Amino acid sequence: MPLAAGVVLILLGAYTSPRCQASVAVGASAATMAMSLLLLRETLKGGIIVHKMAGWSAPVGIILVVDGFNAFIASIIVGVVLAAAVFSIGYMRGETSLSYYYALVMLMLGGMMGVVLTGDLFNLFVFLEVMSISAYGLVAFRSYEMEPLEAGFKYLVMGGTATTIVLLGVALIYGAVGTVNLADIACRLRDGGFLPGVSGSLVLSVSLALLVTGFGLKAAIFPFHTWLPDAHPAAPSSISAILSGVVIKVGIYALFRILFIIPLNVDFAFAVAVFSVLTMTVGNVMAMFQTDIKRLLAFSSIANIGYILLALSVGFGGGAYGVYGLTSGLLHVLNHAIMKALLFLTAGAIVHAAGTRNLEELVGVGHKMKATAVILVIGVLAIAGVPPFNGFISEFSILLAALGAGMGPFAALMLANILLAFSYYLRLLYILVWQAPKESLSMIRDPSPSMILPMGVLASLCIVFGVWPQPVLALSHHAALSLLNLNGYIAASLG
Amino acid sequence: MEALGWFNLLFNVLLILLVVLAVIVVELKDLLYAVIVAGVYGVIIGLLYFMLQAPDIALTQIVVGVGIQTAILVVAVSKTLRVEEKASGKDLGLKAASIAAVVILTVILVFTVVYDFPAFGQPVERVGQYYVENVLKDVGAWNAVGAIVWDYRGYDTLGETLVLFTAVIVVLAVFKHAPGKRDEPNS
Amino acid sequence: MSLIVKTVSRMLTPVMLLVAAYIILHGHITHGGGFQGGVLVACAFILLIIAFGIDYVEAKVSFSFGQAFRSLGATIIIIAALVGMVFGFWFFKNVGVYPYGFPGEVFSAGSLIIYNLGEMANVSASFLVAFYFLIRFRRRRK
Repeated sequence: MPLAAGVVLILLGAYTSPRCQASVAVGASAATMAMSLLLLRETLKGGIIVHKMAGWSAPVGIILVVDGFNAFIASIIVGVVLAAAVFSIGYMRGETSLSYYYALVMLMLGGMMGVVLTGDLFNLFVFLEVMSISAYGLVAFRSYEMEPLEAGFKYLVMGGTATTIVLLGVALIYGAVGTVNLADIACRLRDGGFLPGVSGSLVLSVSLALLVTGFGLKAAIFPFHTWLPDAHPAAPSSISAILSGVVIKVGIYALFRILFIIPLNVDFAFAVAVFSVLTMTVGNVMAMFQTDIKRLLAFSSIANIGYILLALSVGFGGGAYGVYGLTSGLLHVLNHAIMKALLFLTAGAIVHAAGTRNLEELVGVGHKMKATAVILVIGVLAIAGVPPFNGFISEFSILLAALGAGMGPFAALMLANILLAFSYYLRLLYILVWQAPKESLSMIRDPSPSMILPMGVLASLCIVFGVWPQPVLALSHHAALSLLNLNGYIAASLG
Repeated sequence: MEALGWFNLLFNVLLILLVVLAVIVVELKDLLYAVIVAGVYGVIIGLLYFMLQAPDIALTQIVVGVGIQTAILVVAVSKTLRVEEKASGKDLGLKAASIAAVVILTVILVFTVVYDFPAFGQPVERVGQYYVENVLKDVGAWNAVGAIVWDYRGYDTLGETLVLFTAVIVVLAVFKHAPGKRDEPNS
Repeated sequence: MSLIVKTVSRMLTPVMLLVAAYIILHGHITHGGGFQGGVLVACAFILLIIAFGIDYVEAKVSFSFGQAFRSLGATIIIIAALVGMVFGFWFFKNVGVYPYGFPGEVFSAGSLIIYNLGEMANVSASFLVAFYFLIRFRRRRK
């Protein structure tokens, strides 16, 4: 049981020396990886692990609660951060103040783990802040250029608004039910246990609206997506991989948790579905016009958040298809984290070698970087939803779930979106790999092994999860079930 | 009752003063003056916290809002422009209006909701009740707030400490290319 | 700065530090705690900076010392919490691992005083380091 705390602890230990170097960062994330895999194995046996901070039980103290859902997301996060940390060794060589860089990466990892593992709403907010602040810093890390500074500032303003809104929402919930423990909130709301004098539904709607807005901002859902296409390309590529792969997923995680804990008599499924379709359409359409390779990938992240949201809205429908929808959504969380991290790392390798992000200047770069090109092809085909790779499975099953749950129009729109996305991914491949290389690119080579290694591992994961999806399907099915198992969650955390 | 009347009067006067000061801070064109007035604003908020029987928060507010905040802002003003310039370029009228509308709507909603909450000073919050009754037995600290901060919810406080820690790392990392650190220190 | 400012701040600084020490060490008895005290310590040093200039203060408390000090603060907190976990099973475990003491005395309420001291180190040094940095910072010439 103290494992849960151990996960967080290892991180905290790692950053405290300001001279923290790459090996420490990689070692810490590897150790955390091992920890979270252990946790995942424990939860797969059906248990929910609870760690009580300072030994106080639920409503009085803070507890960490780890069920299948938590552990699943946590493992994804650590995996991506580990890959990015290994990649950074080669990629960030030559930058100054690397100790700050690794310290911030570790703090961001710590923040994300804190958000995901905690069973307490206010604690979630606190670690959301740790995560966000380090993310702002990492986006603006290359401050000798203007663009990262501007993007980082934009991210700071938007993210700061988001955390403030979340705090207001948390305060309102505390005012209404007198507790900030997630399980306790769920329990109180189920039994209608408001504080005397508080008439329930309006408080709940307002605070829920605030929370959803805040987390939606973090997850870059449609009306709040504007910071993402600036922030993600401006960051160093290893950071873009973390940001796009998992930081926005933390927002999604919080949304999933909150929406399943606070019951409300509104047709959530429809509203979420509308926003999901808007999000994916905006992302895909904007991505078509980009000439900047990383910006294109960033817009594609927005689109993929849309797919995941659609799966969430199917999940609200309940029933067998609800579980199926959630399963496919969580599978897509995993797959998108792998694919997008892979793509950003690959893009980072290309940009690092060629010194430009402009697609027109990168024409035919694949001919010069053979290994990177192979990996890039795998990644792009996977995210475009081509059958033998993992992206196909999750996108297809989201479609099937939406169809089965009677959300035909939304499914049709998502199919259209996938086809749209397919077109610009093909364009990307055509430009980068197919066309004859430009002469200005004649000098570049494949990157160093420490950069190839994480890319290769992620790419092989794409293939493995594509041809042999049963284990991950089972995992995400388990995660979806434990997300729906609210009673078990309450019993474990309060008991 | 008499004393409470004076208390309420003072409280409301301070609240009104707060609004006036806020408007002054926003409207002042000289940023140095604005920073100083913001310091006064901080003192009044601290007073209000004290009147609401939250001396811990009052202490924090005064130390941070008046001490550190003013000091840092004064340095910031001295490093940039002192007098606000006319905003040039795009006309922000519509955008500003829509943002204001959203903010006002949110404020109204939140106030409607908060109006329902139990009256001030009624100890009906279960968790709060537990803290008040058991803190001496559990922790042995006279200052219940301190006990909550570092024992019952110590993990949160660790998180908040990390927030500050992170924020300063961010400042150092982002502004690491500032030339001033290496070349001549004086001037 | 003028003589008056120098004299007054020379007199005020020890008082501020004393109040800060009181706030921190009595964090578990009276109001306040590590954060408030730490900020007050930083304020005292900032007052010195204003009165005597940055070079005077930085000669006594260097930038890298501040860095080390604030890391030390965070480490103290985590180690104290870890000790709680090793001996008391739960992270942050207080009474049961640390002595309960007699309520109202300085050394009572278990580990609270350790956390307060750690927080003080972290907060004061963090603000001071940031302030050094701000003062040293100059706009890029282009």
